[in-house]
Amino acid sequence: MPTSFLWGLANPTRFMALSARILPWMAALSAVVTAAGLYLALFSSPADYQQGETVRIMYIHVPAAWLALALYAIMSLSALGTLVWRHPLADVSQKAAAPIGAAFTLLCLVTGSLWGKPMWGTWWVWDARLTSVLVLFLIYLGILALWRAIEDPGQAARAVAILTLVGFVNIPIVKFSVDWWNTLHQPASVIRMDGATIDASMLWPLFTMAIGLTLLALTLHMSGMRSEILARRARSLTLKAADRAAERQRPLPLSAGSAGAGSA
Amino acid sequence: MIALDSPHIGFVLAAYMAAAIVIAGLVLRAVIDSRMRNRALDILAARGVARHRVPSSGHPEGASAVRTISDGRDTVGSESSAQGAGYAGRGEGEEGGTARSHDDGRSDRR
Repeated sequence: MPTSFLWGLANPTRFMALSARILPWMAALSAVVTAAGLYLALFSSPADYQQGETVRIMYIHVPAAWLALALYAIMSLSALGTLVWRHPLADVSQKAAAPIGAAFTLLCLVTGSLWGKPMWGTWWVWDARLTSVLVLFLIYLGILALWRAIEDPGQAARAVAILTLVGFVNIPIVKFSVDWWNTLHQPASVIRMDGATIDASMLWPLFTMAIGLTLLALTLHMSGMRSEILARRARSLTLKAADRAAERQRPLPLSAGSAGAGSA
Repeated sequence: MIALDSPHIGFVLAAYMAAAIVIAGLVLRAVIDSRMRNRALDILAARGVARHRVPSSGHPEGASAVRTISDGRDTVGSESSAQGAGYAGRGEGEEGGTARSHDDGRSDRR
């Protein structure tokens, strides 16, 4: 049962033990798959008959775009976990996913721009797809800023969860913007009801890169969660030490007997 | 195979360079962050606040489940304080976590 599995991980110690075992394997696997993807993308796949060599930018741009959306989806699920199910690790997951999602969104924007200049003749156009991805990036930045603005992790988690869920409205806009509006950006060519329109010689490098980068993102996410758990542990221990120090410095109340003797 | 004499090769190389920088930055950040957190906990342990890192069997230190030895009592970090790590920031209870007992593992964080 996935639900019971998630609740099994509610105990941070159990999560730390499990993630410590999984993390090196995931890191190694993501490195191997990404290396294989890079080989396929740069050396094995052909140039496009129209785009030429610039098609190779797609092997980074498309997985980065998918991950930008996927990590936001993870954050939204975590936000539900915080607000609805009160899963103890939900906000840890949300906080760890935000910088990774922001980085992949930035990579998507940069590589898209680098593809756009030779293909469209411009670095940027304010069309629906590009603008909605820029909005996604700004939402990510807003979430990161909100985490930093509120000191108490519990309060910050609730505020960020609400902002994340409000921002989720942008996700279908990003996905369907090319269908809803007349955009310069081409419509979906891989995730379509009637199948991918890309040749297999280019589809396999794309999928391999996507799997490799997804594994990398999950590895980084897990590592980020571990760091956040340790950070909270350190913070609580510091607060506890400060409490103890204050307790020690507090003067002891005088007893009635000794007060009487003193006054006599 | 990529043709290095292509007219737009500069854009392709720049895109892969950007990807390398972003990914290297993410990995570096994760490694530095993890080391900093462990060092902070080690400093607290050295001050005798509460925690000594004890690698659980079969796992290297740093990547281990963290046991906590607190005030002479051997409490597994956050095991007894169920949400100790997750909500340690609340500063409540054993190891700073929410020390309320959560039989079902849920956290009442209000």
